[in-house]
Amino acid sequence: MIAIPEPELSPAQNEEVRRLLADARHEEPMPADVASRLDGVIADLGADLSTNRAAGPAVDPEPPASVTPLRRRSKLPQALLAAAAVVAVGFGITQVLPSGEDGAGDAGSESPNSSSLSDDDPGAADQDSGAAAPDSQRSDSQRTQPRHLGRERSRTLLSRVPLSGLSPGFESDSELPASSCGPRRLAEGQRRAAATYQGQSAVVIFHPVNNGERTADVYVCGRGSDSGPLTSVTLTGP
Amino acid sequence: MTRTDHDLLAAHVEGEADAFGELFARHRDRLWAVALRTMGNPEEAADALQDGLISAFRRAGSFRGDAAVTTWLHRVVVNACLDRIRANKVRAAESLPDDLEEYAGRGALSTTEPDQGPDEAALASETRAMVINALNTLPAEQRAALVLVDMEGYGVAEAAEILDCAVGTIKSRCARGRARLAPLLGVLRTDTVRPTTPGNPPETGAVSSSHPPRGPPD
Repeated sequence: MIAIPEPELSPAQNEEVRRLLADARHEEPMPADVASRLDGVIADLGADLSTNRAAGPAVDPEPPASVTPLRRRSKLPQALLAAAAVVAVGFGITQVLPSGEDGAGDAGSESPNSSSLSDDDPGAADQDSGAAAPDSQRSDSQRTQPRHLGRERSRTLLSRVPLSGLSPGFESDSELPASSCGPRRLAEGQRRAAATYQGQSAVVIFHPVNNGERTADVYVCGRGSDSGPLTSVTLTGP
Repeated sequence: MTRTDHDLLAAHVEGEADAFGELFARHRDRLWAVALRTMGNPEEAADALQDGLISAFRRAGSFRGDAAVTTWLHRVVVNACLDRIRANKVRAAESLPDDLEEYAGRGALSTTEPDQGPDEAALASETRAMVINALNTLPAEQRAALVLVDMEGYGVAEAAEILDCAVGTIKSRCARGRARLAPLLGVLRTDTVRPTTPGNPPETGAVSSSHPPRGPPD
């Protein structure tokens, strides 16, 4: 910081500075892109609130890991540490390490015991059924599931989507611009994965397993949250 | 019937899904203005506002109701700004945002009056940029006080409530901040004449002369 002298101002000079400051007041509304981004943040927080409501108070003073990460990647290591601490308390660190997930909110929730997308593992269909159970019957681990998938889980599931031109996208699923890619709110058991489809940023919404099958909806970003999926497909493979 | 801010916040605490969004929508433009001027650039302002938004959403239950909801919201957002400034102190100390012109072009920093001519608009824009740049050289606490009091028009008492400090502290921060800004804004120059309109002064008539007019050379 440059050392700036602090002269004694006359009343007129003081008023002149105040006038210049007042003239520099920002009068315009919040830019649309910022408003859209913050609306998405509120929608995500609201969706989590709905999911968590059965646990007790509507507003948790010390909630689990953040569901709305900030823009800069430099925050990730701190977020990982925070998520790891939550996981250690909630599930035990040994349950988390094998999952290989990344992202602040993903680490805890994608543990084998909590993921509703664990149909690769035995008993997955039962877990999906559990996710659709009434709130009052759900365990803490189910209530803390995030809606974004970790990178490894995304890659695994996306590889089973029978669409050419579809590949994992974004560095982190949690950086998805939720307000412009697919539905703002996910239904019970649905999970969101970042992708690119034919060169465009996209989002794939995975539905819970139903009758042994899982379907996925593909949304291309920028078409608005109200537009429907570009296509829906049934996953292949084991 | 329109619900009050207190009603909306209480509804949010009770679990009403859209209450917080409605509350935020009411105040977001002013919160944005405060965040933008406190942070100095739109990207940082958006990040800080998001921090504050998340904090307010989650800590709504801690609101005691002894202040206006908008004051509480401003407090949360300004604190998020100050936290972010402290965390990025080196970066925040850089006085000139490189992308000022870019954002001015996008309207984020531009407040051009529609009835201004191009010259007046350019002058106003230049002056505004100078003020913003000068403001960014101040310590974060002084800047926040000046943004609230001199830019946003809050009273000293309310600014003290927002910044959670004594009224005297706000007065001191404002006075010291203005004193620092004055030389940067050219206010200390005694011969400073601020034109109300750009361009040359109006014509005042012919200059008298005792000599007869000269004709063309022979």
